[in-house]
Amino acid sequence: MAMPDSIAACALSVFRTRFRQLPNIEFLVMKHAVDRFWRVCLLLLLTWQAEAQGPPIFTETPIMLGLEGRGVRTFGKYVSADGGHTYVQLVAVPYNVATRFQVGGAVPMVWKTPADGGTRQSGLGDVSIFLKQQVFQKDGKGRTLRALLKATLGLPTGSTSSEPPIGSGVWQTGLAAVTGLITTRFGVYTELGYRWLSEGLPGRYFYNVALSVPLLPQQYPPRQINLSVDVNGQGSASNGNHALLLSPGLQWIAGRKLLLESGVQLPVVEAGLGAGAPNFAWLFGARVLIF
Amino acid sequence: MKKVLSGLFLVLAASLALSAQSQSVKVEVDGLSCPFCAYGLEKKFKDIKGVENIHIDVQQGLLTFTVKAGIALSEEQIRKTVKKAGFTARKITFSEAEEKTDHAG
Repeated sequence: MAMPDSIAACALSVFRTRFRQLPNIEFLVMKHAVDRFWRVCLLLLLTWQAEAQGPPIFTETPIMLGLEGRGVRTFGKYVSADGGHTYVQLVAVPYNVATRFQVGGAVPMVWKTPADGGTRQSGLGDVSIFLKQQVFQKDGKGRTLRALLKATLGLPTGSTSSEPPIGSGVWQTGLAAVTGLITTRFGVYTELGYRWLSEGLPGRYFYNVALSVPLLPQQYPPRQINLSVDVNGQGSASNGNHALLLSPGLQWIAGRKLLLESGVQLPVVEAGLGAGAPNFAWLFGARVLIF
Repeated sequence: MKKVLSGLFLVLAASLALSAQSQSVKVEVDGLSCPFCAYGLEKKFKDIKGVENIHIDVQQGLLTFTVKAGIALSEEQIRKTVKKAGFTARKITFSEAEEKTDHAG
């Protein structure tokens, strides 16, 4: 996500300016630590909300729109930070194995440009796969209350030999509970989860809450504009870090099969994260139902 | 004997005429709250042979469609299809020409 990516950029910059004069072995140890930090930040950037299908923008939804493999979500995300900027183009494809069980994958392409004039790096990022099992559904007229469990596995497929690295170099396993109350007048979504990392890295909790409001009367075929406001947070209990982002956005449902969306993420809380604050993150994307 | 045969013929002709009519079906769908999600419902019913003129009213939670003459579509099949699309069918109403039959669910 925006926050850790920026911090990583800042950390790398500090590392470059301060520790170049260290003896070789210490230099390598420090470099390894910073590279690892970059990788963790990168995986968080790439995997957070990558699989969401249907409104809202930055928070997962309990409604599964996999439609037997013919629903695709793609978006570009630009993260501006003091240490440089990152662009990720991601494609996520879900597949409904059953009405309440979905599997899928997300493939990112990453471009990273350091602010200090370093070499721009690009390539395939960390691919992730996910499972969703709906565990609760209560429907009423014009409303539904649903909950699902989501498991995510991030694979270290991105290159780590470059600087900055494109991939995280670590495996990650995530588990989250997703709920949503969606009516014809509004939608409230929540997500609470935890992500375990390999290589002995500390895990991270994350939470997301979103409110989505349609601005036009509901109709089908759809001609709709949704206003959504998300609050996206994450942190680590082991070191007290906590990042909170406020994320307003708009969605335009242009027809039966096409949804266009855009939103920004602005940092609100940066507890224990130092001075490496991001400026903003901007997402623009589309969800396409292919038949 | 002639009267009996005439009666049987009339009953047979009436039933044939009835089965040759297309049916109109109205389904009250619970959980229908997002127009982008409604496409899955439309898609599932489009896949059923003989189903046409599909209309979805998100505000009212209504799915209506017609079934071609000679095609049998049961209430159970409709409920299964709605469920497979991720929603819940409540009341299903079949309409045939001037005759209406309600099946409360």
